[in-house]
Amino acid sequence: MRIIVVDDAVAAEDSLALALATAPAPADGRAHQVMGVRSPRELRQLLAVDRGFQLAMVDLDFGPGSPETGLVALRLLDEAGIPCVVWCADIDENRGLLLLAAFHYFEPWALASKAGPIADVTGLVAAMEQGLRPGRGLAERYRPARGGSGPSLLERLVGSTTQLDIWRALTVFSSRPEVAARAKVAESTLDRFLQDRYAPMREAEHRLVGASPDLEPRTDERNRARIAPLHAFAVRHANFFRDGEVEQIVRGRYRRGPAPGTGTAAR
Amino acid sequence: MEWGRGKPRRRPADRQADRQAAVDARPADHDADVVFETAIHAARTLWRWGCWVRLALYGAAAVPALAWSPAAGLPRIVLSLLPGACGLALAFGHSFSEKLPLLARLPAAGPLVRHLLSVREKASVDASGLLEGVGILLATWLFVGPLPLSGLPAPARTAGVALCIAYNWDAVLQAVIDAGWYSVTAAPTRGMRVFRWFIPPVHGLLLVAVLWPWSAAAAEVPAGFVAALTLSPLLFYAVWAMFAAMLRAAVHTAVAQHRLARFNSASAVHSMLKNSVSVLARYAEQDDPPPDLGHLRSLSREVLVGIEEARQAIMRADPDSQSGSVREVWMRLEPLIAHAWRGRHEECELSGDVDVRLTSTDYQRVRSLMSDLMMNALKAQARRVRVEFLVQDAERPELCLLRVSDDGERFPPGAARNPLTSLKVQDILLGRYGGGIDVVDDGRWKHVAARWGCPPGIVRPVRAARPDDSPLDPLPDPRQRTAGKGA
Repeated sequence: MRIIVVDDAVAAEDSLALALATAPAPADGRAHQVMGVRSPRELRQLLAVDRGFQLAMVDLDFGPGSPETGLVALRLLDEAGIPCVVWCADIDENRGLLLLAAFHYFEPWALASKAGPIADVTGLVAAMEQGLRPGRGLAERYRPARGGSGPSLLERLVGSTTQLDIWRALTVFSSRPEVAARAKVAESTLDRFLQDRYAPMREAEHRLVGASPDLEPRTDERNRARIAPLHAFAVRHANFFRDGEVEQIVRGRYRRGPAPGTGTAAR
Repeated sequence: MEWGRGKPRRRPADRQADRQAAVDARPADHDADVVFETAIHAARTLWRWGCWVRLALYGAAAVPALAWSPAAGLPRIVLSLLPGACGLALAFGHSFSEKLPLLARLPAAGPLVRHLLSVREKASVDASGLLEGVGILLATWLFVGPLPLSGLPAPARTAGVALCIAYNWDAVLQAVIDAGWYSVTAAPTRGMRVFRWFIPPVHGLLLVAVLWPWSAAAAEVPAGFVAALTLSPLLFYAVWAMFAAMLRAAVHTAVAQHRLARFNSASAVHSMLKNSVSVLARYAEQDDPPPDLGHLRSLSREVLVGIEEARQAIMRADPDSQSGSVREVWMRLEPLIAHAWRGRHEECELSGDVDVRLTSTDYQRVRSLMSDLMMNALKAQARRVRVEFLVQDAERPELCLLRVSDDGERFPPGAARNPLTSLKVQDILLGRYGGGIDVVDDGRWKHVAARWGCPPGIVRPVRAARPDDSPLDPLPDPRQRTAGKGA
């Protein structure tokens, strides 16, 4: 099996290569071949000349050196028809929305945690080589709920480019006039945003980091009180909101139809 | 009429107490520092612009006086304009302080220069302010006042007055928004701060006194125009409010940027260290097969280099810290291994393409290999180590080559059959890219050469041609290989 690891750390690729080199030989007797690239940019260069991979292990964040996130890598691999496994530090609180987007807009086969033992990953590779589809496992939290209807959690958080502009402004500013000025929206538009995005934000917090749902706002809660938690949320997920690929997604480039299994998130 | 940057001097004891009070009252979050620093930046620019604006206004005001007054009035005009011109010259010296040393060369100018330097960024009265104040009063009274120039047509007189008051306006406005009001080191007293509120009306009253129709000629200036001029200082409140809003905004921006920088630094440390630490931790936890000690050591050294990288990246705000040249790897590694050869270090020589900026992959490979190979050399009691790097290996140009040579102890007998474990691991890893590790002992030097390629499609930076573009010493014929997949 030829495996491509898309991760900014060579150590990730090396640890998988080493683990597979010392593991029992695969059923067909041919050793696995592990190769790695450090960023989506390098992945693009590699795929231009070699698409013969049967599995890709994809990190979601490539550090400050890469303006592109794992969403770009997932799209490139999707276009090349290479099955993907998201392999990242799922415990990082600022990865949550990227993971939601990864499982909402693309179809990675599984989520493997970098915090877990490498045997989990080699087991996953062995299972996939036998044609087995991994169970939901760690990815359960991030996959859209099956058979639902209506907009998903992600779509309710960021449904339009205007909303994305407001989220981006919120990553820097925390007062209404400043956010409105930065996002170039009227304060009434911002007020509607604050009113409508608060509940999805709380839901995302609950789903991603298990924040208490008791903190649900009362309906009469004022927008002035809503802006601080929304600002904190935006700062935490700034890498997601500033991502160029997310902007493309929000512009409708990858909007998925109401196909089964891709409908909505948990509610 | 008198103005300057503030009010008369106070007793030293008072100033000392005020300074202490200012230090005591200093907010822990340094907002006041940001305000003061922003005000200094703004004031510096505003004073410089103001000097040119006032020079233009002063020159323009002199025109109607010189053009329409009889020749007999010329000495008086010159004498009246002289103090203001001197004041302006000092104001230029004040605002363009890098030119003050030129002024200091003049005989007896030393005390003046010291005075100008001492009143910078403080709310106080200085010589240039006083001279300008007296000067503009004399200039204004060329057109109005008790003894104005005779024979000027009314429009010329009105224009002269307007230009003088505009000059006045600019100078007083700069005093109202001076950085000294926001000083944290020499904070203005409560009395001064109260006085600041009275500057616009006091200035208006002074203008009433100056423009009052003391003489028949002065009465030629339309009364409505004079009234508008005397009320104009009230606009200072609006400018002051706008300036204060800008300063508050600067604090907000600074606080937001500071928070963002902290957040980004924390994220950078996290993202740069987490991978190497988690790989180390996972490898150390592994039961089957048990972790190899050499590889464990190698991984922990990588973590240490990573910490140094993260520190440097944050210091330099470098977005791409996991990149650089072989020389940079060496500079980050050297402090970590210095203790191992302290006292016997004679030479470490870098040669080849050591200044070529590497791809992220090559950089990380060099980092890991160099730390392994250097430590091996130092453990073998080497006194001299040579590091050689080639972007294109002479034997196989599709590979790059890192060769570490040392004069330490020879490899033990049988090393070829029982390879050193950390090298064995590296050999497996490099083998995936058509390379490997070769060990050659030529009797005097022990050479460990690592070669590796890169995935198809990835383009390595090619070094610039060297002036002495001769091939480096070829690797001696292998007499002893400990691991061999390479060339």
